[in-house]
Amino acid sequence: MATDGLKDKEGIVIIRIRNGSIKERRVRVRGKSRIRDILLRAGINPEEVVIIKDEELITEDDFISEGEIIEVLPVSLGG
Amino acid sequence: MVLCDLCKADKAIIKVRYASLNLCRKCLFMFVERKVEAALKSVGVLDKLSGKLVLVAVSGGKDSTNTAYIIHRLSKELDFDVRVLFINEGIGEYSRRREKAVRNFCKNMKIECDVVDMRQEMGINIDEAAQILFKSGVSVKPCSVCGVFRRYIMNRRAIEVGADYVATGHNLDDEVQTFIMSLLRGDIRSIAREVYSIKRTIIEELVPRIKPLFLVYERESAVYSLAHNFNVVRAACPYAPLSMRYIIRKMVNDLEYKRPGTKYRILALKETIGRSIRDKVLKEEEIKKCSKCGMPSSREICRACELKEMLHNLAS
Repeated sequence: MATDGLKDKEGIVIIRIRNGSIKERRVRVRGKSRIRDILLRAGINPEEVVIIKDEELITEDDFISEGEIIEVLPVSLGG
Repeated sequence: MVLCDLCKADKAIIKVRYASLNLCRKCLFMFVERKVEAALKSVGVLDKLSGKLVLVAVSGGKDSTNTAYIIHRLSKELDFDVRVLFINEGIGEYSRRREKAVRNFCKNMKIECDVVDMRQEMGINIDEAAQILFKSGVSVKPCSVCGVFRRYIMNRRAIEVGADYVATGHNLDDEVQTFIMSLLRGDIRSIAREVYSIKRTIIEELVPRIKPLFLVYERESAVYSLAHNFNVVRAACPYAPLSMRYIIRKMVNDLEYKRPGTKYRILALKETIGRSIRDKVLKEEEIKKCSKCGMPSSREICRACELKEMLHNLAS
């Protein structure tokens, strides 16, 4: 089963956690959601990560829609 | 798209929750750099930098690279010299990647770079020390050995190059974590010693240490580094999960999220407690010279020589 197929991403957003290796979490959403809420639902503390979407830094106050992907980087990596 | 709350023009790249501010790239740079100036001013160093030499200890990670970048920028404005010190602690590929990153950074910035091999300086590196510690089952963690050895090498190299100050990449989160670790150990001396001041270190063989990122949250430092596109090693040290710091970091970040500004308040408390007990606690602590290496120490034999000897005995 393809993981990145469009059909697969319907009703969800994908969070890619770049913590040395890449782990993926999927969160069910309806329409637009605030990134902070998505992170909290995935059990990720926004204080502990930097958020990237389409290779650009964004804030937890930004919104994300179903089918979209965000990447998160733990802030403590390599301090 | 969220706009910057300061310039109201550019896209925000970070939310500073304790100040209720979303900041764009340019405003974050200004925000962090002003905090660095404030941290240097608070210990009376900013006005004294002209004509001095600052040795920046860079590990190849985000915090110390940011420190070197900002200190280098300030050196042009305030007319002082900067050198970088990289200590290769011998943690396999992790250290090799970091050395390469620091060498490249210094080359690009045109900063003189000293590379020191921990094995050559101390007779043992961290991978070797960790093996001995794990095998023998003693409670000393590789991170403790690494910290003591690095501080020792930093001071020795600072004396050798005639540095007036050693700058490290410790950020506000590091300070808060260290304070809580001291509290949990009931280590009142450590709390007294960790007060951010350079007064106590005006001893000939102890080069004053400055922490330019003292007021900068780790998250701000991470975004500053990414926004500059610095080529740093964003990988955790393989020994990090073994340290107490790892647990404390998570706990403090949970509190910070629920109560923004918690880290600032803990830092303020740390300084208040430290300053009020410092003179009393450290009064009896006479700074002597280590009978083995001659470096300053509050004990007969300094901690670095003590650990070296312990590792040697465990290995034989």
